[in-house]
This record gives sequence, structure tokens and C-alpha cells, in this order.
Amino acid sequence: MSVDEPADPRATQPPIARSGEFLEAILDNLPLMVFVKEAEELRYVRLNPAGQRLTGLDRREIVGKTDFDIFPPDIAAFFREKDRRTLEEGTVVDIPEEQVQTHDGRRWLHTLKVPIPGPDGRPSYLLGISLDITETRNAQTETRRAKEAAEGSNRELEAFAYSVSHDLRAPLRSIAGFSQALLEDEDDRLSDRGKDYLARVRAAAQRMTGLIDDLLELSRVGRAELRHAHVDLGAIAREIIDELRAADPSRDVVTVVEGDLLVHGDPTLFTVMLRNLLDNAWKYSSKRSRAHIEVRGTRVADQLVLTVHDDGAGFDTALAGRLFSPFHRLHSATEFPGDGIGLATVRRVVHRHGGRVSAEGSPDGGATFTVHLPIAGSSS
Amino acid sequence: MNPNTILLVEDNPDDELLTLRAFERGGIANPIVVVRDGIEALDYLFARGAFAGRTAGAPLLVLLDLKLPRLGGLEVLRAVRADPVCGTVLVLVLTSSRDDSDIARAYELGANGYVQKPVEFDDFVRVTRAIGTYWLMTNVPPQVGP
Repeated sequence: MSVDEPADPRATQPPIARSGEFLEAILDNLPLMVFVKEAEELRYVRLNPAGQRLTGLDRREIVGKTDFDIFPPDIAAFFREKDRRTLEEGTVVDIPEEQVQTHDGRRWLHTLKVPIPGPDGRPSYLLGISLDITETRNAQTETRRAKEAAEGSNRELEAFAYSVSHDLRAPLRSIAGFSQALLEDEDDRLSDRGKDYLARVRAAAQRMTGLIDDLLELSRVGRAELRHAHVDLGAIAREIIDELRAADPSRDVVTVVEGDLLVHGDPTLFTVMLRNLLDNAWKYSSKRSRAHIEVRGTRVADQLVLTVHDDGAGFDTALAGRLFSPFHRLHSATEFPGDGIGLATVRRVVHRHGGRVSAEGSPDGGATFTVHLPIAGSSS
Repeated sequence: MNPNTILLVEDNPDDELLTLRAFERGGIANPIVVVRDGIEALDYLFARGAFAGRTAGAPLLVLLDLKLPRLGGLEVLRAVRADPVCGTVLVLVLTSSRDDSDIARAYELGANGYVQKPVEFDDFVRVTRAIGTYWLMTNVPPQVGP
């Protein structure tokens, strides 16, 4: 449009806009319930077609009536209270959730109530606009219920695992204790074969003790309330490595702990995590005449990236995903002893801190575990 | 009664036998009285019921399991600590559980110590030896009774 040729305003307006029909058409086709009450006695003066469809009320039934003539008392009282507030405050009132009685049972609405001022400036009408949110709300409730049910059964399962693990200890103590008593007391009457059988019974009891301890730890890591502290993962790693060396002094292992290893989180759970990772590194590198274990930390944006690397037996990276599921192992127990719970525990610690863990390796080419942790910490 | 008596509260006969064996291996020669549930434990300590006629005096040490029939270990502990006569008797909880809430409750109710029963017998012997060295030989016990 050029500046020196002003347009005829009527040419840009469709004919309908020149009459009250324009507003009528908007109200009739608006897919939201619109109603108007007069401000004195709060009697309905208007309900648009979307409102009639939603409530199942005819506009002729409703005009001139109050909410108390139409709705059950609890609903009418709720509407009345919001109406009064809107008119008294003279501003828009937002009601995120309210119930209305319809021909199809009660439904949920998100409603805005607006005072419409008269000639004297005081509100003479009350305008209401409502969106039916029943479906969204039901879906949300359903999701919340499903989530609560899942959390509840998880907690039950944890408690069950915990109690079972404890109850399994008592018979184990009998098996371990009395087989040892037999070896001690009846040594001269047992054949070599008999002694070998008993040694196997004791070894099995020991493995089961380890399994139960690991299950208890896995359960505890999931249930424990998170503490929050500044944690130096490097100091913890050095302590664990010292313990591993002390328990196995014949090994030749070159260790490196370096980089930025400060993070925020639960010191006990981080100790559990590092102990499991370093136990693994120590164990799977046991067939190297001289093994290397490296713990490194780097800061990437707001995350600490921790890697624990060993040059031991390794594994095929394609199978790495399974490593973090309980009881999944990539090596036989005769090759490397273990129960397959340690890395599940590691993953649980990392997840509880809002981080993630992954593994890389190659058969006979060592393994690297990478943990991403939010430095500021995160609770779950 | 012998003032060096140890009261063992234990319902599992296997654990009773293993505990006695561990004490023997651990070189602890104190007389040991065994009761098998919480009510019996209180009857013994308060010299009532089946123990109404026993000679007066409190044991030097009570080894208390938590999972017990009739009356649980924590309830026994609460009743003992509330008693004006033997309220200060030394009580060590000796149990399979390492549940954080069990440990917290035991100390809240006034346990003198908390020891987890090891599964391995050699560990059990080490634990009893440690109990003997500290609680029976090093620690000066309270005067219990009127």
C-alpha cells in the first residue's frame, strides 16, 4: 500500500464486522465455554453454544437463574465465592481447577473470571471463560498413580530383598560353622575325599556370603537417604588402592590418580562406587605381570568426567550395556570370581546423583569405565 | 550366682552351639546361661517366673539377639533399661542384622554395643575374642543391683 493513496477503511472490513453479528459469530464458534452473569444477583444472562454442549444445559433453561438454581450446592457455593471475589477485586481471577456438574457427570474446568465495568466504572457484569481440562487432568492423575505404584512396589521389593538377605545369613552361618567344626574335630576320621567335599561346602558358603553382602549393599545404595558433602574422589581412590595393595602385596600394579576429582554428593555412596570400580580393575588385571590402573578426572561444563581404566582382560564393547544389569557377567567365575552385582551398584550410585556411566573395552585390551557426575550434585 | 556369668539370649539352636564353640575357641571361660526368647531373658534378669528361685545378682554381660520369639530384643532392652535394679547391666546386641534402623534403635534404647554375627566361623572366633578382651577384661563394669 502506498502512502499517498489512503485505503477506504470499509474495503478492508468484511460486512459482518459492521454489525453486532460479528461478536455473536465469535461467541457462537469459540471452542471455549463463555458465560455472562449480571453483577447484582449473579443471574445468568448468556451461555454460548460451547458452554451448552459442555454442561448439557439449554440457554433458555439457564438465563435468569443463579448457580444455586442449576448446580448442586457445593459447586454453586464454589462458583459464588469466586464470582464475589472477582467483582470485589475488580480484576481477572484465574481458577486453574474447578469442577462443574454436567449431564455427563462432573468435569474439570480451567476458568478465568473477568469483571465487566458498567457506565459508572463499577462492575455490572461478570464474564467467565472455561476450558474443559478433564482429559488432561485424568491423564496426569493416571501417570502420577502409575508412578507412585511403581515406586511403592520398588520400595517393597528393596525391603523384601533386604529382609531375605538377612534371613539367609543364619542358615549360612550353620553351613559354614559346622562344616568347619567337622574339619577341625573329625580331621583324623575324614578321608581326603571327605575333606575335599567339606572344603567345597565351605567355599560355596563363602561365595554365598559375598553374594548376600553385595545384594545388601545394592539394596542399601537404592534406599539410603542421600547425604550432601564436598567429596574428593581422588583421596578416596588412593585409600582404596592402598587397601588393595595391602591385601595383595605380591601384585605389581602401577597406579595413577590425577586430575580434578572434586564433586558434591554422598561420600559413603561414592566410596561404594569407587571400591566396586577399583576392585574390578584390580581383579581383571590380575593376569598381567605388571598391570596399570588409572583414575582420572576432568571438568566438562558443569560435570565431572571420571574415568577408571585398567589394562586387564577387558571385554567386547558391544556387550557393555549388559554389564550394569545385576547378575550379568562377561567372564566365567572360574576365570575371574564375581557375582555380577558390583556394576549394578555403581550404576545405582551414579543415577542417584543424577549422572550416567558407560563402559568401553576390547577383549584382552583392558577396560575403561566413564562416569559423568553433576559437580553441584543432584538429589533423587 | 557367679558374678562373671554371661547371659546369652538366642533362639536359634545352631547359633547357640556356634556361639558357645566360638567362646570356647576364643578362650572365654566365663559361665554362660542361655535363654531362648525375650520373656525368658526378662524372667532371668528380674529373677522371676522359671528363675524366681535363682541366687541374686546380675550377669556381667548380656548378649542379646534382636529377632526373638514372644518378645523382641529391642523390647527386652527397653524393659531392662527401665528397671531400677538391673537397669545398668551391660548389654551387647549380637545379631545378623546390620539394618541402619536396628542399629539406631538399639543405641537409642541404651545398648552398650552392637556386634554383627559373622557368617565365617573364624571371624566369629575373632569377634568373641575381641568381646572377651574388651568387655570382660578391660572394661570396668557397673555395679548392678541393690
